[in-house]
Amino acid sequence: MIRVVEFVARRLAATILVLLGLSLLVFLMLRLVPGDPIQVYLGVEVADPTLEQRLRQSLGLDRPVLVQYARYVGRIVTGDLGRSILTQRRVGEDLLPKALNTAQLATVSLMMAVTAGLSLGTLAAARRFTLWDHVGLLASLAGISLPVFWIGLLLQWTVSVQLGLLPSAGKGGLERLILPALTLSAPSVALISRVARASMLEVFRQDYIRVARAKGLAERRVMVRHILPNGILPILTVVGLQFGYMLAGAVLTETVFAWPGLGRLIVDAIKDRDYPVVQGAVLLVGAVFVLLNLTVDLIYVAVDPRLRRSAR
Amino acid sequence: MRTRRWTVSLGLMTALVLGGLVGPGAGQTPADTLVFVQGADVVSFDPHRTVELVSGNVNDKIYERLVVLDEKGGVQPRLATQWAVSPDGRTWTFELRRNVVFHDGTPFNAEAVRVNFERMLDPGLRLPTAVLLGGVSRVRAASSHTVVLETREPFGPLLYNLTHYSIAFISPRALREGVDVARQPVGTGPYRFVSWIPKEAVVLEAHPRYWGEQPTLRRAIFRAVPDGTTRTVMLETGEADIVANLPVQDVDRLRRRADLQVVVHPFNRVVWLMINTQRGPLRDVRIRQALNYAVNKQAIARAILRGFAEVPCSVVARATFGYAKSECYSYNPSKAKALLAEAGYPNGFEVRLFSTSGRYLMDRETVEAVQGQLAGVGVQVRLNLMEWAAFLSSTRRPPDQAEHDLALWAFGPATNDSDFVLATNFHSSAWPPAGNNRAYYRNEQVDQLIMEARATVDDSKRKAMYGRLIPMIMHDAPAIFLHELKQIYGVRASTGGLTFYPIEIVGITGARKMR
Repeated sequence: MIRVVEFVARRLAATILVLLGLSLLVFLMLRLVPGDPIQVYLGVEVADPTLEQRLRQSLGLDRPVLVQYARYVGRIVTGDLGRSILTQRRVGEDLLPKALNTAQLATVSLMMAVTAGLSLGTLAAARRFTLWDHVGLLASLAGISLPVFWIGLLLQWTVSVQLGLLPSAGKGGLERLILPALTLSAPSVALISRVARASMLEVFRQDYIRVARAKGLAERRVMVRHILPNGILPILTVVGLQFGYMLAGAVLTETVFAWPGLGRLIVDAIKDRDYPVVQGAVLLVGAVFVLLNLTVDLIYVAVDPRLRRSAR
Repeated sequence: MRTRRWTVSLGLMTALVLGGLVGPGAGQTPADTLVFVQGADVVSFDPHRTVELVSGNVNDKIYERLVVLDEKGGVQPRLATQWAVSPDGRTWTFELRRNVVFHDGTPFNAEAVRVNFERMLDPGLRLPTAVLLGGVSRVRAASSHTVVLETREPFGPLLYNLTHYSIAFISPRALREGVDVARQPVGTGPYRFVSWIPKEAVVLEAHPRYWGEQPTLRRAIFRAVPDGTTRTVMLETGEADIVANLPVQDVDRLRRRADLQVVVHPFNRVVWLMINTQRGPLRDVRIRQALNYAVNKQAIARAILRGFAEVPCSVVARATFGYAKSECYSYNPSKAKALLAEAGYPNGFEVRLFSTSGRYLMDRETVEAVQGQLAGVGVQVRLNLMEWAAFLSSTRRPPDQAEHDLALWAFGPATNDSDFVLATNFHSSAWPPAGNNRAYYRNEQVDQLIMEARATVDDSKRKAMYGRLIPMIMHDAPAIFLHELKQIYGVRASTGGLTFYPIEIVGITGARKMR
């Protein structure tokens, strides 16, 4: 137990370093990209160097980049992510609801992906080289290769326009969550089912499975007691990574379904060169990603008795 | 045990999906609500802080101005009922409408106007609106409902500038009490603010004490949907009553549907390829004219913009005050070649074209067509496509550091006045980085005439001056004058009574729904 606590503490300390590095990287990259937030804010109609200079001064954008960074880090430590250059709203205030929206989408999407992926993968492994297996392969190929926005548009077109069953876009009740979640889950279903199939097949070949069958266990029991628990580890890794991908990479889905999430917030902020918003959002995604990996590692320890023993 | 858990979760998923299916489907918007879908979200509800159109269209319902544009682009009274200008052209007197109240109950009067102008002109607040009031030096309340604006010099475009949706009046009480009007707007408009969830929706409701005719529809919801195809889908399913910037590829399909209508309206936005007049062969006016003759604008408007553009014969759009028809530079490649040869470049030369991609209707496709057509007369174009922010800054450099020979540039004056177009894009004082004259165009006579017109408060005299000015600029050809865009809206057939203007603003007060 103490070793586990120590492990977590060490990983958390590393997390802070990773986030610091990440923030510096994002900070510098944003300023290397051509474009000026003040020019974007003022747009086409107003070009006034005096006004621009005054705005730049008031935002501290006229200082050397490293000074700006130092001040930024100083503020972050106190929990202040700054204000959006464009809207003047507090970054934290806008970030949190959008992050929760994305988390909601990603969680439902992950539930769908795990349920469908695991079922399909296990089925394909158990009924190897049958029609089921081939259909599963074809479906996952489609899930991986079809662009997410295309799947989204197709769903909108059939379900919303043709059948009139569900609303096409925007945020609201559960009925507005289904199509985007389905869309976002497509590549993950494909990946999880493929990994599940391979991992299960790997376990099928193990001696202990043969032993289990030899001692006359029912096939269902072999599956549930011996194959699933042993085959689950690689799947867990993929699921953890997929969740991270969903949190950070829901941009296309969010755009197609006008889902007000983190992805859209980041893309809009990058387009507007709204530095504080991009920085805050990337920092948040980074933190979630790192913590997610840590959680997956801890679940490993919980699930795998071998790791548990060595951790103890 | 585990199997049971799986069964349970599978069952839950199914229930979730089915539960959704039974729930409210696509359906229609409520009968008393107008759902207006735009491509972006409001930036700020403080009209003095933002000059951009999407915010402008929403703020236009919450706030009002002294004067407004009508559907043709002329000036009409709103909060001012009448006005007069002194013989020396420096003092403007506005009589204000009576019995107007802000949403918080504060009466609208001369003092409210004064407070707002003072705020806009306060240098410490760094508000972009001040730029539009360049000439105003003093604002005073002559009586409870009379306001006097004094300008340093006679300032002809003042009235048109005052129609800008940014020159709007915020409740003086809200300002005094420190209400964050960027998020809690308080105006005099037909609609008052209810709620805003950024990047999702703005909800407005009818202002019960509005001085004018009450809005027919009690509520208005503005949604931000960035993807054009999704906007089309929302119109088709009935989740939207009106969508802005309908994708051109969807127009034909939607026109065949009886329950939808496509509204195409003139727009005062003109699109140019600014020619860097300080660089190499482009210094020669004959070369610049040759480039204009070499581009088949008719074909671009028809084939690429699918007819949602007009070929310009002027610097400003037809709807803009001061418009004068001039040279059209109709497609004539042999004349272009002759002019190139005459200028000493029979075999052409190479130019770098900077353009946005995805900012304006079919911008990338347009410059690619230009590239092909200029190659036809021997001018090789190297394209440099960028997204908006990068484009803005990389084309706004001093002339000796400029990298572009040609730059795509579009301008639609929200004031609908030629002064705004010419002074900010073609006057030599607006050379980057000071301004938007990305052609680095300088003609002293033009400069002088722009300033003279600006100092003329008699609009008929001013119009006549633009009639002289515009042909001079067209002759000098500091740009390839590409097209005048049109606005494309998708509207449910059941929704009527909307008002369209030559700027991207839609009036919704008269909107109604038929069943």
